[in-house]
Amino acid sequence: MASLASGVPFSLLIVEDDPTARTITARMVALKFPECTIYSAENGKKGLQLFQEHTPDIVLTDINMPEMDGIEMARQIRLLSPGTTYIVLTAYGDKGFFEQFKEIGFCAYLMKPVDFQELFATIERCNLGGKLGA
Amino acid sequence: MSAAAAAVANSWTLSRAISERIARLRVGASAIGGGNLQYRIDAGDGDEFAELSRAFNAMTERLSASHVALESEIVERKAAEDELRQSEDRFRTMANAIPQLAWVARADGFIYWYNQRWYEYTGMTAEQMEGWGWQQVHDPQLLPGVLQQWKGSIASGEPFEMVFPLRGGDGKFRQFLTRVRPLNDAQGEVVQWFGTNTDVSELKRAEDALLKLNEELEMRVALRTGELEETRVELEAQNAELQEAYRDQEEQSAERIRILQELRQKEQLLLQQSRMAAMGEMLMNISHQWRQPLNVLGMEVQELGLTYKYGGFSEEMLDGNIQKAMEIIQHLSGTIGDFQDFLAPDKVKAPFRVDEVIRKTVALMKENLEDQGIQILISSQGAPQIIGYPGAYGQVVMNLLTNAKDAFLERGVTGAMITVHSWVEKERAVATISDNAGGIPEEILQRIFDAYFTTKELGKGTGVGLFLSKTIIEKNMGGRLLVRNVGAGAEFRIEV
Repeated sequence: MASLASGVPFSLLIVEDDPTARTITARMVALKFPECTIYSAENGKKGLQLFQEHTPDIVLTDINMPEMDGIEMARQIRLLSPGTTYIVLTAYGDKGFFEQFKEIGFCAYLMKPVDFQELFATIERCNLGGKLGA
Repeated sequence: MSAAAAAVANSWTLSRAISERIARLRVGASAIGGGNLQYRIDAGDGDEFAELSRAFNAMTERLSASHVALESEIVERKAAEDELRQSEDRFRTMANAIPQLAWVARADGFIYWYNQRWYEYTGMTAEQMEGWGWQQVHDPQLLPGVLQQWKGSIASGEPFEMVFPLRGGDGKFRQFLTRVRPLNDAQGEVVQWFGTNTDVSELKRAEDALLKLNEELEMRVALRTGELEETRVELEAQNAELQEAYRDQEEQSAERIRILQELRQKEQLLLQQSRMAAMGEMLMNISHQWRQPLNVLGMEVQELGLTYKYGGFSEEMLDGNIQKAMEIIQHLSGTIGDFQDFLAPDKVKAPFRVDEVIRKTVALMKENLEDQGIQILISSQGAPQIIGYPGAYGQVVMNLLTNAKDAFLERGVTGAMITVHSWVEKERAVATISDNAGGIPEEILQRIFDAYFTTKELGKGTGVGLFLSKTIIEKNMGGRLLVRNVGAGAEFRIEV
């Protein structure tokens, strides 16, 4: 896990309303994946905007957020880019959210507090899967 | 005679001496014969004449003595006869004077004397009554019995006593007590019977009356006893009824107590449920408040490991992350205190700032509300302060905020907003909590404070929250909790 076999560049959009969580996550993903281009947004609305701008490979998003939540954002992104890979990172095991997101389709549904090693493994897996699927 | 005359004629001289002495004898005899027993004859001495006169005088002497004795005896007997007559007169006078009928009979029962009262009463004559004539005034029916007893007494000499009726001169019978006593001689033989008849009709009547009275009394006593018995039976019945009623009452009371206990148990259960619901709500608030800081805390710690491993680790970073981690830990610790304070029951009434309690309560819920997309605005004016139970007040605020949140989620309201405003009005602290969740239907507006009334889905609401809130504000703190629809939603008003 210390090094990636491919080292192929990819991009990732982080959508998280908590600034500290957002910053650290970005920092850690960058540390683990130096080949990754990272975009950060503090809510769904901003996320959608950034997605439209950069079309990242992976969208790592929280669900509960002001302005526009993760589900709504994902719905709109799906309309733009149906093949986008989603990694959901949420604090709530809410079945309703899970079902709604399942309908949209996700690669992984992770629970907070985040375990970075798990997150890294998921990013690797989803990145590969996404690449294979695309 | 002729011989004497011849003698006289023959010898006058001779005869003169004899005749003179005879004359003396004749005079003496005549005097004595006339009653002069003191007279003594003197016929000279020495011859037959003298002898004769001596004998004559002696005889006179004896006669005189016997006469004296006889006369004294006559006087004595006369006195005794007088005495007897007087005694008898006294007896009769007395016997006539007494009010009873009285009579005297011979030893054989022959009545020879009745007193005056007898004749007066019977109206009979002595001739009709003498001997056994008295039977005429007896009741023929009872007479045989009377005769039998009377003859028995005559035969035995024993006193007689009996009550029987005697007919009066008016033809009416009256009861008499008859007593007869014998008079005995020295040998004990009955000489006479003395009888009295005492009119006891009055006595008898009195006795009868007494008897009758007694009977009447007895009857009355019996009657009264009967009445008393009736009353007693009645009272007993009443007593039994009362006891029955008492038992019924007791049973009813027991039933009532049972129902009350059941109600209390139900109430306890609901209170328990509502407390559980509040705790659940609280836990939800805690989880909303804690998940994000815990996530960040986890990240701060992991960053140290990851930078150490992949590069970028520095002492500066270590200190920075530790400081941030400690800040989060302090924050979490503080929120535990807030929740603890909030849940701790108020022991005594104390002065507190209403706006302060609202601010703290909202702080506990803020994350929860915001995570649900609900905005909350707080404002206050005039530092409203009251004396009461701050914890209970906070619970009411939380209950109202939770209800608003549930209404928003249920109705899927966008742009959900809760406004909490507190101020002072007429020396009272007023707080309003309004939402824009669409309000409460007018038809249930007045029922929402009722116990067990709920509009929430089965299993979500106990119907106790608003009831308890009203109880806390109105009963425990003497205030008012009101509701009305304002604009786009409901407005609750707490006035203390």
